Amino acid sequence: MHGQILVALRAGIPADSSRAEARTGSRADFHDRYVALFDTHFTRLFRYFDRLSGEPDLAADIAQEAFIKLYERQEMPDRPEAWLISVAMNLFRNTRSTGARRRLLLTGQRGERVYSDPPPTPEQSVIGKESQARVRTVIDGMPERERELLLLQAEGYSYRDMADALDLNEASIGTLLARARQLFRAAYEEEP
Amino acid sequence: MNHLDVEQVERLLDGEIATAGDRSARVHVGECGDCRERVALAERQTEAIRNLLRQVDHEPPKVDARQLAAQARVRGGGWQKWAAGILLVIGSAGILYAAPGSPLRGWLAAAARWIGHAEVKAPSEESPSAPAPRSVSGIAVIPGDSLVILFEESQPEGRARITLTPGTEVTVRAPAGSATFTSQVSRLVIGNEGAASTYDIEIPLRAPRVEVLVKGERIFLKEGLDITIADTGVGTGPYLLPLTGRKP
Repeated sequence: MHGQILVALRAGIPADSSRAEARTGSRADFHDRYVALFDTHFTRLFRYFDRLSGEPDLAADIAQEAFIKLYERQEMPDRPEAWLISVAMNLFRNTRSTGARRRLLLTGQRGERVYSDPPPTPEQSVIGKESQARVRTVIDGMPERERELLLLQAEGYSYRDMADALDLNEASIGTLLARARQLFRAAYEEEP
Repeated sequence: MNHLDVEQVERLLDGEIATAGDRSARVHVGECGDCRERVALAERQTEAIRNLLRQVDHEPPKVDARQLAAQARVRGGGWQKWAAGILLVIGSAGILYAAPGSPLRGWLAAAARWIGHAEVKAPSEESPSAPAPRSVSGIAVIPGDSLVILFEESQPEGRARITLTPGTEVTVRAPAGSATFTSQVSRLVIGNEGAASTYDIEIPLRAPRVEVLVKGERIFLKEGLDITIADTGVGTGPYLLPLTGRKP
């Protein structure tokens, strides 16, 4: 059975201790930063893995797991966004390489698709589905490195973060991105 | 200056100007129409791809930072996992030791005699109701808008003792080793097959909606300030409810 949790309840925080107060203050600071980072970064992380895998539930699991791991650290890394994407990439690769069964965490109710405009007409829906399938095919058909880079760029990650997450030389990220873009365009135009 | 290379075009596009060479590239673009057009073309292509990528997006899950923080606390860090494991082992050993008819006491006494120490009297010989160590396991979760506490099995023995508190977390406690706890979205599942324990459940007064089910049947519902219960053993709060799954 997966997802079982057996824990001892937390002990109380010692009172009248300056060290304890400092830790408590530090924890409060961490918590505030954690919440702020979640608000700005969670959706971005989810969207990246959603696009990468085409599996929204998997993307939700990975994004949540990365944030849980960050909270378990109780300490903010120097570059939190880079840390999150690197941890999440490792989780994603482990899932893919081991074929491990995914554990659904807190995946809430989710609509089928995001519409910022009025819902499409049936005719638009058909065209939309064809176009979605075409984009999906192009993404899936790209070489792994170029696909990951292109999708990270689309989420606005810095070259340094991309280099760290994908273990690449930062000095050549731009050249690789240009190549990724050309591959995407060529494949999209070839798709019927 | 020579025309921009591919790397420089991309860095200009993405605002990744870091070196002096990159900065001079920006100056060059201001003076060179060809390079300006290359940067503009790359920008248009990048934007077009971003628009295409949006077509395959799905709505993100409706979770918030507090839920994930609670999940992390429940799961615990390394030392907490070890502590929980040790508590589980100690608790299980204690329960085994004190259980009526347990052979463990006899084995320990025999082992003590064998190694020549003073004879250890089995507690059952003098105090058949020797209590087990009071190790407790449990779980704490943020209730959110709605939380279901689900006992997977009904229990002929044991109760759910529910207390409303001014806190912020729902907590469930039980003797260590008697049940397992699984936190899912808006759900807390208690694996209580074969258990006979009483569970202490604390529910924040401010929790909008908390429901307790036994094998799918509701025994308790808190909706705002309204409480609906299946049975009250001891009047109003704490609510002492049987875990036999009777509907309210």
